[in-house]
Formats: sequence, C-alpha cells, structure tokens
Amino acid sequence: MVGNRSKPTLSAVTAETTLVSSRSLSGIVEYEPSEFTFTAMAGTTLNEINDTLRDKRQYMPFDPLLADHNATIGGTLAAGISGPGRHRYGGVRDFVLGAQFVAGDGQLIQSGGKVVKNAAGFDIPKLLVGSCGRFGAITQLTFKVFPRPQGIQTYQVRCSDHAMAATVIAAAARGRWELDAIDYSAKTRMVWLRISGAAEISQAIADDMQRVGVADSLTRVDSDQAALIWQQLGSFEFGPELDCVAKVPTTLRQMIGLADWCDTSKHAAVLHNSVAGAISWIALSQHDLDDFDTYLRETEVTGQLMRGPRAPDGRLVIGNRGINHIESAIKHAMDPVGRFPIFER
Amino acid sequence: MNTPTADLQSLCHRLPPGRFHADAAYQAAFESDGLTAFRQRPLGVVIPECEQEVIEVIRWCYEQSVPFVARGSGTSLSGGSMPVADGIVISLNRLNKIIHVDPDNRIAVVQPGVINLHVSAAAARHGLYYAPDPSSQKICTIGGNIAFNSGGAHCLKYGMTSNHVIGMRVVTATGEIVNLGGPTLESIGPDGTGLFCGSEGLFGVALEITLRLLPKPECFHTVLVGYRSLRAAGDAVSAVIDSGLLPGAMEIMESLAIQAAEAATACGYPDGAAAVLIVELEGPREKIAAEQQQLDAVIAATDAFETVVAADDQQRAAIWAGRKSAFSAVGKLSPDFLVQDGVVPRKRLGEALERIEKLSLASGLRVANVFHAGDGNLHPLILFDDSIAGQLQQAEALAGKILMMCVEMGGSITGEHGVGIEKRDYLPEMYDVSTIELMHRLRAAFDPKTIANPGKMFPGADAPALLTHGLHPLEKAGVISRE
Ligand SMILES: Cc1cc2nc3c(=O)[nH]c(=O)nc-3n(C[C@H](O)[C@H](O)[C@H](O)COP(=O)(O)OP(=O)(O)OC[C@H]3O[C@@H](n4cnc5c(N)ncnc54)[C@H](O)[C@@H]3O)c2cc1C
Repeated sequence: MVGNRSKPTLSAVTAETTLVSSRSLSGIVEYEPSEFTFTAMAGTTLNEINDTLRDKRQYMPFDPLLADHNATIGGTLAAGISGPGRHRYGGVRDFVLGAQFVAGDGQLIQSGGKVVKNAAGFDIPKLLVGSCGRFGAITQLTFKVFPRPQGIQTYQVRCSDHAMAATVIAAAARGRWELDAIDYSAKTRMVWLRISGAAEISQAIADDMQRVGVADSLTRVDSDQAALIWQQLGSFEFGPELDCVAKVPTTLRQMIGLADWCDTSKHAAVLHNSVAGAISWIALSQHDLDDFDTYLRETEVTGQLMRGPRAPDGRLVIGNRGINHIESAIKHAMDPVGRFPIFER
Repeated sequence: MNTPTADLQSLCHRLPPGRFHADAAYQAAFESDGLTAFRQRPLGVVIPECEQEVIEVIRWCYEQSVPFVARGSGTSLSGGSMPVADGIVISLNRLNKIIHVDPDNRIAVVQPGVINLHVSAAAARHGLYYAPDPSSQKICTIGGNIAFNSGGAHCLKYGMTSNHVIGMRVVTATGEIVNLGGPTLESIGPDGTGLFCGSEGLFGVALEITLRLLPKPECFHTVLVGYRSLRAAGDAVSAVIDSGLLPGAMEIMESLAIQAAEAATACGYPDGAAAVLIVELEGPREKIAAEQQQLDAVIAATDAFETVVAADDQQRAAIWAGRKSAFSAVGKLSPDFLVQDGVVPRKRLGEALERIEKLSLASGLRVANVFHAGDGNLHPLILFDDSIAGQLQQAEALAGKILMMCVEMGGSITGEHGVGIEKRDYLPEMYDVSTIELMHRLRAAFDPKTIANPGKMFPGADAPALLTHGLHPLEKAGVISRE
C-alpha cells in the first residue's frame, strides 16, 4: 500500500509485489473542532488536513513532515515520522486514536475509537505506527488535534561545538519554559528554539532563558528566515545535494557521535537533530551508506532510510538490527496469509 | 485445570526458598483487587525479588500450562488483577527499583513494582515529573498502569500512560524476553510499546520500563465555578474549548457528589450548586499570566453564579481535595456502589448526563456523577444496598445501560479503568467479530497457550461469583481516593 510516495525507500518493493495506491481514498470524513478530533481517509494529504484545521485555529501538534511533497496522513502514520513540534506534546503515535484497515486476510478492521480517551481492547492503531505498510492497508484514521498557538517565534543559539549544543538542548528541554521545539543544525552549529505564544511572551521567555544561563545569547530569527529553517527540515532539504535521508532515534550522546561522524564523512553528510536530541535526521550520499551502516552497528544504533536506495543488504533498517521473534509473530497475527511484504530488519 | 502438588514442588525448586506461598492466608490476601465484587483464590502466590525469578515462574507456567496473573498493587477497578482459578499470582511489588533517572534525555528506567508517585519524587530534584496521575498514584504501580493504560485528571493535554512509556523489556507468556522500544522517544519499526500498553496483563509481564519525564509545570491557575444546572456547566466546558485554551484539567461534579465532598472535607464548594466545574491552567508564568485573563473572561460570560479563583497553593489544594475525596465521600452515602468509566463525545456530555438521570430514576437507584469533562470520561457512581434482595442486579443492569449509551453515542465503554472482568461482555459492543478475532491472534502471538491472565477482556469465560461492592480497603483506610 502506498500513498504519494514521499518516503520512497519505504515503498520500494520487489517487482512481483503489486502496489496499491491510497490516492483516491482521499478526504476528511468527519471533523469535530469541539471534540478536538478528525477522521480522514488514508490518502488525504497533510496539506488538506492542515488547511482545514487552520480554519478552526487547530493543528496537528506532532507537526507532520513532507506536506510540501504531498505526503498523506496514512503514509505519515505508517512511516511513523513526526516533526519538531513532537517535542511539546508528543508524536504521531500519541495523537492517533483510531485506525480502519484491511488486514491480510481481507477483513476490514476497525480498531481504536473516535473519542479522545479509550482504553477498551488492544491499542492496534499504535502498532500500525512505523509498520511501513507491512501489516495491512490503512483506509481511514482518526486523530486528536489541539488548539493552534497564537503565535510562534524562533530563536537561535550559536554553539562552538556539538557538545555545547547538547548542553544547551538539555538545559532548554528541562526548564520551566515549555518550548515548542528544540532542534540543532550540526553543520551550522546552531540550536533553534521555537517558543509559542504572543511575541512579547516569547521574548520574555527567551530573555529568562538567557538570564539563567541556558546560553549566552538567544537571538530572535526573523519570520521569513524561521520559515525557511523549518521548511528545510519539513521537506527533507537540509542537505540539498545529498540523495539519501535517514531517521535515527538518538540520545544526546548518540547525537554528538553522529554529528562527529557526519563531520568526517567522505561526502559531507549533514545532521539535523530534532526533538531535543531524540531524532537525528541525516542527509547523506549513497556512497557513504556502507560507512554509515558500519558506524551505526558499532555504536548499536538503529536507523531507517526514508529517501535513497535501501540499506546495503536491501533491508529496511540500517545499523543495529535488533531482531526479535515477537515481531514476526505479530506480523503473522496481522497478516496471516502473508499478503503484505515483510518488515526486513 | 488440575495441577498436582508435585508440579508445585518443581516450581519451588526453581526459586529461592520463601518465594512461593500456597497457604490460605496468602490465597485470601490476593483473592480480589479494587473491584471487590469478584473473588477467586489462586493456587499460590509467588513474590519474586528479581527479574530472573519472574522469568523462571513464567517459564514454569508455560511448561506446565498453568495460568498466571501478574499483580502490582491490586487496585484495578475492573477485576484485572483478580486471580485465576488454579493459577499463580505473581506479585511484583518487590521489583521496586528506580534503576536510573537521566535528566538530560528526560527519561527514567524503572522496575514494574515501582509506585507511580515515586517516579515523580525521584525526578523532582531535576525539575522533572512523570505526568500520568491516576488518583491511586500513591499506591498503584507502573506495571499496573501500563497494563491498563491508566489515566487521571490530565489526559486531554498530556495523554494516558502509553504516551509516556517509550520502551520496555518484557517476558512474554512463553518465557521469552523481548525488547520493545528503547531509550529514545522514537524507535524504528512497528510500535510494540504502544501495543503492550493497555494489554491488561494478557501478553506477559513488563520487567523494566523506560518512562518519559516532563518539566514540572511552573504555575497553576485554578478556578472553581458554581452552576445552577449541569447543562450550564457543560456549556462552560465547550466555551473554554472553543476559546482556544488547552487547560491541564477540567472536571465536573454534580450536586450529590458536591454535598458528599462538602460533608467529608469542608472544601467550601458553592452552596446550592447543581454542578461545579474546576478548570486548571498550567505552564510558565509568562503564559499563564496571559491565559488566565482569557479564561476569566470566558468563565464570566457563562451562566455561573459563583466563581472562586485559587489565590494560593493552599486554596488550590482545597479545591482539589473536594474533587479527590468525591468518590470515597459518595461511597459513604451508601453501603455499596459501582463505578463506571464510559466515555462520550464531549459535546454530548449534557445529553448523556440527562439520560443517566432518567435511567437512575427508572431504576430507583441514585447515581452521583463526577467526571473528567475535558475528555468526556464519565464516572457515574451507582449507589445501592446489597442487603436488599435484587439491588445488586439492578445496579449492574443500570451500569450496563450506561455503557450501552456510551457506545451508542460514539464513545467507549472504558476511558481508563480497563475492561478486565467487569466489562468483558461489552467488548463486542465496541468492536466487530473480525476486529476481536484479530485481537485474539495478537494475544496468541505473545501467549499461544492462553495462560496470561485468562478470562479477562474478552467475553466467553465463566464469570466468578459476585460478592460485595464498595470502597477498596485502602480507601476505607483513607490511604487513596479515586477520580
Ligand atoms: C481508589 C482508586 C482510585 C483510582 N483512580 C484511578 C484513576 O484516576 N485513573 C485510572 O486510570 N485508574 C484509577 N484506578 C484504577 C487502578 O489504580 C489503575 O488501574 C492502576 O493502574 C492499577 O495499578 P496496580 O499496580 O494496582 O495494578 P493491579 O491492579 O495489581 O493490576 C492491574 C493489571 O495490570 C496487570 N499487571 C500488573 N503488573 C504488570 C506487569 N508488570 N506487567 C504486565 N501486567 C501487569 C495485572 O495483571 C492486571 O491486569 C483507581 C483505583 C482505585 C482503587
């Protein structure tokens, strides 16, 4: 099952596999602003959803990526990727409430619910997050949404090295300020902080962060430049000349290691870290893939390519494999007849 | 299932002395949980001291096909941790280490028997806390919270337990060790951690859990508002939501609950109110200063007859004391009660409450309503007297009607207490046959022999005998209260 193929590596399958597109399964089925919920067909583009929510001053706080590339809501959930806003309220996994999909045996499954709170039965919608279409054909999804902040300002902190960036990130994330996003561009050594609220409130918060020593100087980024910064990540263009993009979940220490690896990589790989250290997005040349895979294995870190060729051995993940038996047992439960490709670790 | 004594001996051989107990005192101590109505004596109780002992017990159970029930503090309100006949209870309270707190990455790694509130206590010196706050948090364990995907008063903004669990090591019901998620917020591949949360002990036992911590909110702005009608209180909730604010908590109590709470705690709730609404904003002082003006304006435009703004921490605590005591206070109005946990779409709250009132009148039993208004999670308390013949059945019938109403309105049979034994017959009201079949298949992936907490969540198994209803023994003792 594929959407608009904005994360092509995930839908690159062998020739004998038939691709089914969700393109015509498009449209918002239900939107209840007062309930903070909407239901959309899997092939609905993020753009359409964002526009509809914006009219009612709401948004998807997990800040989905690749809207500019016509990414669909189904593909976003299946790929399990969230943008910088994940920092404040959580990721796509934290906002999905219900999922309708066709299981491998052709049965239409209605899992989860349509209300913001539901503890009945197993949480199958969450299991679909990151499943990359290997479990079933998602047809419809229900999400929780939140009121949109009144304003958003971006501040930047210039760092001397990656270790300093990690210190700034940790201090910013742990403080009382409730920042909206904390990202780091390793190439420019710049930490970007997004603060929501009216401009004077954001400024007061930034001043306080400076006062207590999170950084010597927090500089406000003008809105055009800020839009460019966030759009570069949002459309995976933070390393424009490079043909691969990988997602690597990291701790702050692993982020530093990856940033160092990028600095010494043969083809100048670029790291954009998002969500206060937690997600490292790496743009790299396919000629660096082998080295990258080796580095991840050595440091016992797992990643996934979103764009570019498959991992050197044709698998979906790169680096540490972390295979466990339960994943194939779950796959068998979801798709007993083996209709969908397997998630090759 | 009849297990010969020799087999139990083989279990004892696999454990250090003093871990396994089969005497009547232990059997009785573990025979029920927070849903005191259901009781079942287990074959025996194992109280392991370390992870390896838990694994040994489960491997033994798997080899011998003996059912087991993992147990935290036994505060489940749906019979989830009630023992299974001819089965073993694995009590996890001694696996209570906080393994480490990592303030830079804002995570804590804990054992399953750690008490919910202890996580926040350990994180406090770093300015962090663990957000999920069931009212039983002084006593319930992280393992139990995970199994039930427990909630609390702050779910609209912060989500449930599963939104704060990022990884775990579990032993499945086959005795295999599996790692789900990891030390980072996201992982690669399907979200197994998300699936395990809310699995009600049917997959195996969580042995080590990685939790996400948040910075402690700096400021609170807590408002208590009195209304002459429930509908007016419900409308106020919609007005707050429509204003674009995202409060940390929004709770409503209606008159019977208000009177009971007032009698119990002298919390100073508005006299003669048909309903009170508590709204609490939380965040950094710069934001709260602006948002509180916005909230005060929204509330002023509603049909309120009295508004109290907490001036300090003490007043805030008093407002919450009334709310937190509501259940035990209402419980004292009647010899027995049943509490339900259904969810309705927020905009239909007023209608739901009117229908509950009609159902209550028709059945002749009083119902007190206390609920998480922000997310539409009702907690109707059905009051009855078990010494009067037929009242228990009447109460159960009324509870069933309320659950059916929630489903019919597009909601859920449970917002946070889980299905357990109590609501298992209603699961098919929410999911069709193919979806339930898929759930069975998923369960079999973890537990092919159906030995992990059998008889829960899914309809079909024999129902244990109903005995009594009412306060949990710890509530009677005033140790915990419920929301
Ligand atoms: C007074 C009172 C107030 C309450 N308030 C709330 C509330 O506000 N919100 C809310 O959501 N709930 C509430 N509850 C319900 C209850 O406290 C929660 O469901 C809690 O999570 C149960 O934790 P426990 O440690 O007592 O678990 P137990 O009752 O011992 O077990 C619950 C379930 O978890 C399973 N289990 C336990 N440990 C593990 C493990 N390590 N691995 C796998 N499965 C395991 C058990 O098999 C069982 O199915 C309240 C209960 C009481 C009595």
